[in-house]
Amino acid sequence: MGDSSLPTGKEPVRLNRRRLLQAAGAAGVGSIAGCIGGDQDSGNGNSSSDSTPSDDADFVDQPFVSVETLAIDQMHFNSYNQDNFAYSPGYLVFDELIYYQADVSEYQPGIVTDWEITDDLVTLTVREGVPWHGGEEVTAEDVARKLKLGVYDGGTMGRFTSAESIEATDEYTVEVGLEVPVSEEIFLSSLKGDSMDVPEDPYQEILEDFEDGGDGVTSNGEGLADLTIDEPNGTGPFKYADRNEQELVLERTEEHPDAENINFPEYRFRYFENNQAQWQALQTGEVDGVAILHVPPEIHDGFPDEVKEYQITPNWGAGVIFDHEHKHFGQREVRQAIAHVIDREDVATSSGPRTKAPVDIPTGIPGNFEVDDEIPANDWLGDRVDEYETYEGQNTDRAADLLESAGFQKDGGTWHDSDGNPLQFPIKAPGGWTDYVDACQVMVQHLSDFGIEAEFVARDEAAFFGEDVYGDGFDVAMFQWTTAQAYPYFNFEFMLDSPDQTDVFKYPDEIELPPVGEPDGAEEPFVSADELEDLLTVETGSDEEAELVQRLAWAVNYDLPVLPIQETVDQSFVRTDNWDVVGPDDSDAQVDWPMTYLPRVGKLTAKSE
Amino acid sequence: MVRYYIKRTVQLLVTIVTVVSLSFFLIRFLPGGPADALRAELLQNNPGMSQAQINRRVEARLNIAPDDPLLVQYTDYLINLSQGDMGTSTTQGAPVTEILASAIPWTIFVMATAVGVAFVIGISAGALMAYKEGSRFDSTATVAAIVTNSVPDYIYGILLLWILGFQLGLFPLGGRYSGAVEPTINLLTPMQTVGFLGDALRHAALLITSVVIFVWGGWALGMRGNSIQILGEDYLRVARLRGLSERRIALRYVGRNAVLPMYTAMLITVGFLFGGSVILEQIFSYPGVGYYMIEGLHRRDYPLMMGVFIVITITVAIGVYIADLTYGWIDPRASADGGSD
Repeated sequence: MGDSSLPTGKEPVRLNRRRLLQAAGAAGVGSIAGCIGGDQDSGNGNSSSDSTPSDDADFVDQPFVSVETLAIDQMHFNSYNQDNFAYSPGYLVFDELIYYQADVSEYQPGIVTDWEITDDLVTLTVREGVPWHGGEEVTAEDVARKLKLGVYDGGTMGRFTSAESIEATDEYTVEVGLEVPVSEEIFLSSLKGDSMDVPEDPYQEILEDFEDGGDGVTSNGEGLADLTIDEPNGTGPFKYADRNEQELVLERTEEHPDAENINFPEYRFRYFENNQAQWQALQTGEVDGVAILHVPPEIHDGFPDEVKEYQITPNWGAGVIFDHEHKHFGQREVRQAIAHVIDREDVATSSGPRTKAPVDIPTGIPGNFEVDDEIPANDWLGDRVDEYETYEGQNTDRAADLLESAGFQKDGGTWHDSDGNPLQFPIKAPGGWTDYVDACQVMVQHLSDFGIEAEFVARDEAAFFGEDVYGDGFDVAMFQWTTAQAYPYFNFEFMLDSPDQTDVFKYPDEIELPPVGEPDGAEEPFVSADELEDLLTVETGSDEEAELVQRLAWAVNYDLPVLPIQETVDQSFVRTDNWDVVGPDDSDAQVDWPMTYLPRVGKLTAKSE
Repeated sequence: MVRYYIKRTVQLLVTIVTVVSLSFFLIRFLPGGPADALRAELLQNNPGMSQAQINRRVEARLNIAPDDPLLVQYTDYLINLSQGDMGTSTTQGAPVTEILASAIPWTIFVMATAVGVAFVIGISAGALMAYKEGSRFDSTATVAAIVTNSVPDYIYGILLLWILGFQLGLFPLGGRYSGAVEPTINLLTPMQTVGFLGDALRHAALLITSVVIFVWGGWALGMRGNSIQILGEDYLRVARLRGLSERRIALRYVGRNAVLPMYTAMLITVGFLFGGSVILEQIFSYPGVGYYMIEGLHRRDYPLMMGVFIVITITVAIGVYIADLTYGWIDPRASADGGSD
């Protein structure tokens, strides 16, 4: 159940130090003489979330300056067109339907403030008083339009409803008829990341074209995925004001209900071409925050104390994928041997010492970053956690046993199959994705030491996807095992019952599987699709749900359709010299992204004197 | 003579058409197409997208790509090109000519400055080395010239960027000018214009320096060789015997005759630097012509890649063409093919 009252922030600590005003548009002043107590602001991670910004929080006439890596004059605001979509500004210009707190896996209300889910109907309540920047109020009609477009666009919701079953029943209520029962987790996941960014003009026309059986094209011939919108009619607490080649200016939307939490007038996005330039701008204070930026440890160490880092879990990570039709990698023992040889901890440390976590137990469940000394992914396994194979890595004895049982022999330091063919493969990855490259190189080292002749092949991105992964041109590759969703269903589906499972991994729909935790037990047929169908509808939090997750996790753990290696965190930054902001431990700071969500709830405010 | 001009002009046109044709087919044989590049991008930037959504977008991208036979596409492209239409970039959402028109001036600015500075340094150093032939200065400078000329310019680029840009923070790490500076070139507002030009120069400084370090040595060695050769000429002895001043001899007799052969090399270098800008502009995130080449390659944006290819080709070809046609006129010692009519 959602709670319709928005959480609010705490009173900013006053500092008796005048800040240097950044003249609008002037270059960043850089580090301000004498650190302004970066540690005594509210960012010590212990802030509660039940206080409010003081009513006398002075309005401070300074813009929050962030970065944009797209050429500002080419940016547009149609989220369905990925080329040059204004990704970061979009988080401020548009409100999202619901917000997701990654650390506690909970949903916070956005445009949708309440939801009620039964077997055949979902009822959504729409927040009152949120204006379109063009003047009208956001209503249930708008939300229904968004959901219907999502279905036509191929979004997750299309699995359990149709566009005809979505209806605005009154001004603030949307009803979604369900064709199959669906759990609350699955339904809310399908809303995640959706923004209220489809004003009547031009999207109604596109929707009607879809409804008439067309491809969703406007009368000007622009389709949903190639339309560009230069001046958005948004719904967020900041609205589009101006732009030039280098900078986008957003102004606070006074009419927005969250505007009372915001004590600064402008949000600016400045163009920076690359990571290096962003590191420098963050270091000198030219910018106040960056939504997402990869910062290697040696650079991070050079940041001043005012730069506060937020690590956010995107439920995203890389693993090893196999072509299951290959005579070697189609054999379970070979995959298991590879899993026993690769030391995931070593791989994660090499590819991102501060930002990668090794998968603790390869089960396909995301959540491998420790929270209070616990691995969230393992919670799903309950007290059966010890029954799963951990594949510790560098376990060459076990790997050798497995290969020998599959008819391989070691000859001249290299493993050969019964026909005398060496066990060798190129492991492919996009050459420009440095974390993948680093990971592959370490894995190749482990495998080579053991006698499997692996070789790393760096590929151009388009070639990797066009020729290798989706063009049937790989034996083994580095690829994601994740779907950016915390709920295990989605990863299981991706690995066991999806277009990728059939076309890319060529993994069978039905396998023979021993009972959970009994690798030597009698094998029985296991059909992933049936189990997933049950998981789609099972009641969230029930024993049945846990049992289904454990069975699917066992299938991944024992048969290794994909070998999950590591998970990643996104790094997000806010500078505290001119801003009061809560610390990373606050659950609101775990919403995408601190610099765009926290202002809405009064937890990122401009420092007055 | 006229026949030679006509022959060179025909050669020029044939060269350009050949390169354009080769590029057209070669880039279409690259592994992976625009749709695959888009898929890579979507997966990297939108991990939350469902497969169906990704497929829909990839299909939309495929619909933009013409599905005529390659030969038809090729003839269409040539016809459009002859009318000055390079097509629309599939990733930048703008006509290729527009993108290039905004990028070319920046590349010219950087490269012309770099070549100019390198030329002055190289010629002066070369002349001095020749003058002090055999001295310690000469041998040190020769070694330095050979070493700096043997290391590619992008290596200097990375080093300069790391040390002066990142570690010391003396220079910006990318871009053509600061976000906070309004591009102004206006005689009525001299202060803003100077401010903007200074800012632009500061952004380009490391890129220019990388090229200068790489190029000067070649000029210096060339100049040194030419000068030493001339210093041994009989007419120089005659000039000395006539009692002409050292200065006059150095500038009129040695300098002039030594520099002339460098003229051709310089024109050709300008052409090649356009091609060389590809890697450097990527390193410095400097959106000039070369930068868009990599962008286009990375995202399989065929029209954009073709556009950059054509610009680079034409620059090199025309550089050589002008050098050929004008050299005989600059340096009468070189008689053109077939001599005078």
